[in-house]
Formats: sequence, structure tokens, C-alpha cells
Amino acid sequence: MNALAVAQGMAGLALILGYALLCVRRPHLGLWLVAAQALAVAAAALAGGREVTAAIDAAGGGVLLPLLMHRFGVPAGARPDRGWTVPSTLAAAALTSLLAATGGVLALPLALLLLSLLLIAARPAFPVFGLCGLQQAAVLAACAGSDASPLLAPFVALPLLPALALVGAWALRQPALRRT
Amino acid sequence: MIWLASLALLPLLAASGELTRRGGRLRLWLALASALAVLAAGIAAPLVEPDAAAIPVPAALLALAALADAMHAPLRGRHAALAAQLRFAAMLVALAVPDMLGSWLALAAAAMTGAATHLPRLGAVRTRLVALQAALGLALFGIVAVQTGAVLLGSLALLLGWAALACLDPALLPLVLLLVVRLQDGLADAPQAALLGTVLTGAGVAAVLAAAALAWQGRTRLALLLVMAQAGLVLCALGAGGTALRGMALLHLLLLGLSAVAAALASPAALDRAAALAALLGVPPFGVFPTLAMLLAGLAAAAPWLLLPFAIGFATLGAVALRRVPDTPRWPAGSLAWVPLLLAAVVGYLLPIQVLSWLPPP
Repeated sequence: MNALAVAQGMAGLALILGYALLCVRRPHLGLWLVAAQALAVAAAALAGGREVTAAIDAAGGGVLLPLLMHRFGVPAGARPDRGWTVPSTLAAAALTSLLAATGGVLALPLALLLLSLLLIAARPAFPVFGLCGLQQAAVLAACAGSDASPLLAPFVALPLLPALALVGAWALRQPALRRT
Repeated sequence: MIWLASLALLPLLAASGELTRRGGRLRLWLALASALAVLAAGIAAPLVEPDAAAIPVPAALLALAALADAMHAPLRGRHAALAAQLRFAAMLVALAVPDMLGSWLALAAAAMTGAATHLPRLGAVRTRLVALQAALGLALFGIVAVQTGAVLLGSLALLLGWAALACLDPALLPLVLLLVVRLQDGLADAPQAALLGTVLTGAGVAAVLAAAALAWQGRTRLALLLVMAQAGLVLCALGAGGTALRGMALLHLLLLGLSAVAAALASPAALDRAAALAALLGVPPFGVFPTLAMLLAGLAAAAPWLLLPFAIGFATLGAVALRRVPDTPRWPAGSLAWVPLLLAAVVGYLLPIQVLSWLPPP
């Protein structure tokens, strides 16, 4: 099995974990899936010869971020999950993945991006899971291209979007900021 | 670009002033002083340093956006005023950083600092935060895709993300448009430059038609929708006209900024409000009219069919604006809104060549 096949397989696994995130109800199970998704993307990066990116993604998105959310709580969204049933959500996700197949080299990252946007829209109780997926889609895209600058993929592997969600959740807990 | 970065120190100074426990009036003066100081320093920059030719227009556009914001933020409290100054500094840094990823970081800081300052309910703030973060994610994916060579997919994602950011926080619109100009400059020599032009044209047409549809529904503030339609025209001019219309598009943005400041200063149901709406719409002889006429003429020369969506969009917006203006608007006592309107007339009719000479060569 060559490295390209491993990279493709791991990217596919990240996409399947994105589908699983659409179905989970308990936030702690979601944390495990988010960690596994980041580790799968890190494995894809490692198979593609991007060791630094893989290390940053595995440490940040796969370990540190789930630990932080486990310790301080998963940032909650504006409203509970209602309205979208799991079958209709999965059908919409399948459609977006079919659409993403037109993305050429970036088909898998695009599929993960669309799936994560759908996750944010369909499961508003815990939008941070969708943001983690968006971050991983960007990492996959950075690893897929060959002519990008060498700093692009390591920078994108930093868990920036989930960190923004954590900072936002922290700010909303501050009484002084809530009054503005 | 070090000039723009150093200009960011001015709002940071004002932000430190916001930390003093003084009343709303001092905060308002600090916010105004910060915006005007950046405006003056930006205009004066090329006089001191000839290499700073690219500074005046971005500095003026961002200062005008901050000026419009300064009319409201200090009155909402100390933290809102502080957030407005920090956002202004972040916007200047976003343009000062040459790298797209650095700009994205500063844009994220600007979007996040402004997220909690406009909405009264916590649920609404949460929803907006999530939407902002999703838009930032889309923009990040777009940057990565553009840099890896997928220009069509990347520019689509980037424009969608930036457009969502500008819709969620209209104060970011000038920054987003300047970033679009920079993206176009960056891809000017790439083989996919024409593709980006097509995407920009499509985005511009979509923006003006969406603004017209939203205005017809009547749920969104008309001044914001007029700004959105004019931004659509700028995008279209950048996309279809290329470098020929680039200078005029930036001048249009300047006049639009002045008209938006006038709309922020105007009193409700008064004559100055009607004049500000006319300036935003481009009704002669107010506001953006001179550059609107030039841009439409340029578009007619480049792609005549583009005039159709703009005619539909602006006609709809004009009809809605006419319905909103009271039959007998009262005369406002000592309104400051006339000052930016007068400035727009001076820049648009008397000094367009001089202002265009500020712009860096494409």
C-alpha cells in the first residue's frame, strides 16, 4: 500500500467521521469523534510527507482541543437541535458529497467543508464540531496542493477556528461583555 | 505597508483612552479623533514618504467606516467603544500585512471584536458568532485553495466567506473590498485571472439583485442595502472592467464611505436623511453619482448586458427609497450630515483626478 493510498484513505475516514458527527447526540461522544477526525487528517498529512503539519494537527486538533473542551465544557450554540431529522440531514450530506466530487484534487476537502457547514446548520446545539471540521477541511486542502508556500499547511493546522469558538464562549460568560 | 501598521497605533491609543471611566461624550470624541487622525495621517503619508503612495485610499476608506461606526458605538457603552477601536486597529493591520493568512488572522480579530456589540439578546450574539466563525472558516478554505492553485473554487469560497462577513458586520465591507482588490492584484499575472474576473462579476450581480430583493421585502435597513448594491457595482467593475475601471471603483468606494457617514449622522425623517439616501443611491447631484455614471459607462463599454441587472436593482431600490422618504421631511437643526455630503460633492466633481493620482499604479 503506497503513501498516496494511505493519504486518500485517511482523508476518506475523516469524511466518514464527519458523517458520524451528524448523528451523535451526546457532546462527549462528539469530542471523541472530533479527536479521531483530526488524527485521521494528521495521518493523511503524514502519509503525504508533511510531518510538521501532521504533528501540529495531531497535537492541537487531536489532543489539546478535545482535552480543553472536556475540561471547560463544549461551547453551546444558540439553540437546541430541532427541526432536522437524521435521515434528511444524511440525505443532504450525501448530496453535498456528490456535488463535491466535481472539485478535482480538492474533492475530499471540499466534501468535508460542505459537510461541516451542513453540520453547523443542522446541529446548532454544538456548532464547534462543525468548526473543527472546517479547520480539518482547510488542512486537507493545504496538504493536497503541491505548489503552496511551505508555511501554509503548518499554519492552517493550528486549531484556529475552534479556538475562536472557545474564546467567543469565554467572552460571552463575562458579565461585563454581556452588558455591551 | 509599515505606514498602515503604524496607523493602527492611533485607534489603540484611543482604545486605551476608552478604558478611563468617563462618560459617553468623551468616548464619542475619542472615537471621532481616532478616525480623523487616521484619515489625516493616511492622506499626509505620501507627502512625507513617497513610497507610501498606496496608503491614502485604504486609510481613508477604513477611517470613514470607523467614523460611521463611531456615531453609534460610544453611546452603547464603554466596552462597545473599546471594541470599535480595537476592530479599527485590526482592520488597519489586516491591510498592512502582505500575506493573505496574516490578513485572515487580523480580519478574524476584527470580526470577533465587533461580534458582541450590536445585538441586545445573548442568543442573537451566539448565532452571529457562529455565523462569523463559519464565514471565517470558508474564507480560510478559500485562501488555502487559491494558494494551492484551485483559483475558481478558492475565489468562490473566499468571496462567499468575505461576503458573509460583510453582511454580518457591514463595518467590514470596505476592508473586504480592499482585500478583493489585493487578491485581484495578486492573481493579475496568473493564467486564471480571467476566471477571477468572471467570479467577481457574478458576485457583483448577485449582490445588487439580492439587495433589491431584500429591500422589496422591507426587513433590512435601506441604507445598508444601498451600500450592498453599490459594493456589487464595484465588484462588477473590478471583474468586468479590470484595471481600467479599478481607479474609478476605488474612488466610488470613497464617495460611498462619505455617503455612509452622512447616513449615520442624519436625523430620522429629516431632509438630511433623504439627501443621504439619495447620495447612497447615486441620485444626481448627490454622493456617488459622478463615479456611478463613470462606472456604468465603463461597464456598458465592457459588457453591455451587465447594465440590465443593475437597472433592475437600482430601480427597485429607488422605488423603495421613495416610499421610505416622508412627504414633507422636516429641516434638521444644525445637522452634521451635510459636511460629508459636501465633501463627497467636492471630491466627486472638483478633485477626482487629484484623488485618482493617489492610487498606486495597477
